[in-house]
Amino acid sequence: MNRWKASETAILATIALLTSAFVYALLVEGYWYDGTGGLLADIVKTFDSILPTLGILYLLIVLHRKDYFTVPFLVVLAICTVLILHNLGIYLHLYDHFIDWWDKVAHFIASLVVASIGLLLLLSAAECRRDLELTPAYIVLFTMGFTATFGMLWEVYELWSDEFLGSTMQYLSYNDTMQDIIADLLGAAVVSIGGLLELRRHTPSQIVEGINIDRLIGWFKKRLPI
Amino acid sequence: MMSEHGMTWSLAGSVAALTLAMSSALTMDPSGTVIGTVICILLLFRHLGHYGVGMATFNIAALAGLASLTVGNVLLMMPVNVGCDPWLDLFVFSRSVALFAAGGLMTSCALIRGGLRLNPFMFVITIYLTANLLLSLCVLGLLLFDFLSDHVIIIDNRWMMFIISDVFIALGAFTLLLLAIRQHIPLPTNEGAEP
Repeated sequence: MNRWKASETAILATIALLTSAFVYALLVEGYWYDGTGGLLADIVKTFDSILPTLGILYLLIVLHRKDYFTVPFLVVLAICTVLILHNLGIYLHLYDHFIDWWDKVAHFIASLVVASIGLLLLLSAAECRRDLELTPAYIVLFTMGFTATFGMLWEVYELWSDEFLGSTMQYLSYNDTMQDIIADLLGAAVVSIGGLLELRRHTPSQIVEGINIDRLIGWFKKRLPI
Repeated sequence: MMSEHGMTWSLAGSVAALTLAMSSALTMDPSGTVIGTVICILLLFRHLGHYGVGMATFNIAALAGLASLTVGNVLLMMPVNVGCDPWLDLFVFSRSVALFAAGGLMTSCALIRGGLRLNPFMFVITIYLTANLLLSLCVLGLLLFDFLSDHVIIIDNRWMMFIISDVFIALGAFTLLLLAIRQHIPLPTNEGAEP
């Protein structure tokens, strides 16, 4: 079995697991969000986790099949782990039961995944573009910035959800936001340091072997003639 | 090489940024200090004479951001103005300008130092990502300050903390990208950098 077959198997298994968990929670446990924002808000909030999750997993398959970006097996596994942690955390109320650490662990692992994807995209772009030459300091800056941006967007989403859908994703506390940012930046720092150590032992082309983002760059170039 | 006029601007900018950073330290928001200090360190330690045109532009933007940030801080400190929306808006807007300029300065510094080569698209993306990283650090600094000092000095609400600042930063990046596409601005390069 080649690596992509293994990745695809992991993705399909995750889809099956999470869909079953959602259907079970919906039909057996009576999982239906009942907030203060009205019926539409309740529908959005009920499906706001499972639908993006399935979308991300489907996107991974499409990106590979159309030859835009092949995510390495380990990163696929990490993505699946994060999505399982997050979704099961919601359906089994683990975020509420383990309020002190479940959310932080999910944030930390998610930031590892996001930072890894950012780092791989950067190294791949540098491999196939002659007008890009990277330095270690720049790699750290880019990886940290990439992760911080996604972390920030997630905090905005939590805020949006709390404000308009009546949820309590931020547990009504500034401390939650602070701890989330720390977990995100820690994950980014780990990947940055790990990436630099890896670059001492391997060349960038060895690290991004098998990842071809020519078509992805071509897609951007077509829309941004820069 | 930079003209004498540009060097004077940079030198004046460093002194002013340092002064503003120090005055920000005395106001309510420690993020002003963080931004000012980052800019000062970059300006003072990067032999001013080697900065290009792009750098001078970011320098001026940083100064404008820091200046209005300090003014906003001072006005917010006055009891009569606490909670007054226009100053809060000025504060958030100026913080975004200062962060965007700091991102531009850091990216330009990395380019001018040599070794790094970026195309215009990656240059703008890097500025945006760096500004967002600095924004996260600013918010983190603000929250940590509150947490450790057991005070509640967060004067902006959650929307103001992230999304409004990020919208301004994204607008700045988009404008810069458009200018770069139409080749209206010369972006800094590592040509002529010190070996």
